[in-house]
Amino acid sequence: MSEWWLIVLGPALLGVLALGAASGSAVLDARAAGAPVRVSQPLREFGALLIQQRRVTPAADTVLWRAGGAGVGVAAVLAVLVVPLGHRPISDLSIGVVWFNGAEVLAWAALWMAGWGANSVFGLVGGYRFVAQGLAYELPHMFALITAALGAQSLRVGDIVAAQSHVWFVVWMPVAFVVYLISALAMSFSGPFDQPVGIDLAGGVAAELSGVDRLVFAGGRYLLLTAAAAMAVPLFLGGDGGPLLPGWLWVLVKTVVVLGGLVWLRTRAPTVRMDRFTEVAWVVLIPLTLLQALVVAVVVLLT
Amino acid sequence: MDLTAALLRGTRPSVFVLTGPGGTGCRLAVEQLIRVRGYRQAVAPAQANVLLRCGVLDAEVAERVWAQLPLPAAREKVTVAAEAERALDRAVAELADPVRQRAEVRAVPALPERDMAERAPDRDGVSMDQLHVPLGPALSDWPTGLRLHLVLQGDVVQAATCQVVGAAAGPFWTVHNVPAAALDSLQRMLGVAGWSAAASTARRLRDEVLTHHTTAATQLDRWVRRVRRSRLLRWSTDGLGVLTEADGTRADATARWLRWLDQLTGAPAPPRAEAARAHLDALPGLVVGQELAAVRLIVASLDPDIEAMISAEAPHE
Repeated sequence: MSEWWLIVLGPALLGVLALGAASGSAVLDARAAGAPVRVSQPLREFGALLIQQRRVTPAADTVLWRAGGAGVGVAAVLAVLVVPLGHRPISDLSIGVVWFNGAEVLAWAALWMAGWGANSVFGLVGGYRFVAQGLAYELPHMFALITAALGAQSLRVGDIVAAQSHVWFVVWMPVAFVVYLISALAMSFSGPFDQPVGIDLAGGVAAELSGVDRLVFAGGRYLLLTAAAAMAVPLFLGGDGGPLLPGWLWVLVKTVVVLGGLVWLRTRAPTVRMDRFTEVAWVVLIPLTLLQALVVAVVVLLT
Repeated sequence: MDLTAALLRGTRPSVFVLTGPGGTGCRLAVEQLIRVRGYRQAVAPAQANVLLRCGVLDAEVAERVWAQLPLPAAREKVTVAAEAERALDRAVAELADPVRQRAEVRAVPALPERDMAERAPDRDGVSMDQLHVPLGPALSDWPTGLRLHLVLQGDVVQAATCQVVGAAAGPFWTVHNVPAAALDSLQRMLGVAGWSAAASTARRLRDEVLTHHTTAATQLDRWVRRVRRSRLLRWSTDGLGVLTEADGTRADATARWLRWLDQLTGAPAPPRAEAARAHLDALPGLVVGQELAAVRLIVASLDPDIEAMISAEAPHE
């Protein structure tokens, strides 16, 4: 491929932004607790987890367990392959939106495997909670993605960015944008949607993880959140469009704004119980996103 | 250059506080130190690298929890609240000492041969695996001294029995520190409900009330208003664990935590020992048929004061 350095820069940038998100989250937690604020905390955590012993449970399914833990980060890196950094993405697929959706669904399998493989009740319940969460958020999420693709009449991310040269999609698809942000939190089991790793299950899927496995899993979670925030920019916020600054800088600024908002929301609200959220997702969010798609389709037909 | 020693020095202590009856004073002192120093309070033993024991607990429980802490790790016992700071310092120093950590050797435990899970019909008559899961006493954000034996199918409770573990010397919460007790119960419930920011603020307010017997009224008011107005929290706790109280009213989990918020501004609290006994007797009936998240929320909203109950029911010589 012509731009070989993109395949290094893309995941590296994803990692740096994820580290920034972790630092911001640590700062917010420290301020709420009235503790000294240390921005370097995620890096120290990184080092501490590298020298920590890995947990072993009796009769664990080690292959599934370890593969599941690593799978979350892999899903994030695969998903970010279609996000444009500046002008072009690492891979300019003609079905970029579908690729993003498929890569993120890998996290479902990863989380279930990580929960089931540990042979622990809390992990098992956490894994199944994520499956329930997936069933709840996935359809509204897909409709939000399709609405953006509908506005550009193409599944290529580059075409979606090009279609926003006059007005950003967030202006005339606000419902889809809000639903996308909700699903970004849900897909990375953060914020009000962290029941799979909830404190009430002593950490849920993460209850039996320590050392390198915990590092890979927790890092993967932030990578997934960052990838979802990064995808919001070409889909709804005009990609690299904007005055004065170069395109790639605009992409970074917009990603940081979306990511900062999602990180801020993380601890602001109590965890939503999945049995109650599923009802809202199917009875409220799906009709809303369908209506939004209808409005967008009518506008596209008329212009 | 010893990279492991350098990383060990930079390790943030992640403290798992194992509390038994009689250890509430020590636990409060330890939690305040953890918060002020910026350490993490571990949610599970696998996440922790320091184990602090407060109060009276089975030695077997403490050993099993210690075996689950991944190395490098350190442990200490806190007997008196005034000793909490020294014990924590000793534990953190032991954690950061590469020589002692390298010398630590854990015997790999001989794992017993386990059978597959037994089966039993569930609520629809379908034969499903049954798991026997005890919740507590070494669970974070859990009432001290309670062990709840559950028979789970999936994450739905089929049967439940309560057991009280440990022995108490005397109750900690009296009529003079009602607001602090309410804040303590609230921070546990907000933790279980997943609202970490509000739980952190509640801990900060609780520590202020305990040390200064008063707190910045504006801060407390703002926090109370935010929690009271939260529709998401009510959505989670509405309709859970409906119980007929001593004065005849029927209260669900939401009503109970609203009552704690009222106690912050001067409302009186019901006698804790009798309330704890009533709640423990009703608990098995409340949790059967509920899923695990609801069980945790029900127990957190009841928050029985087991120390007071044990002290009140202890045979008087």
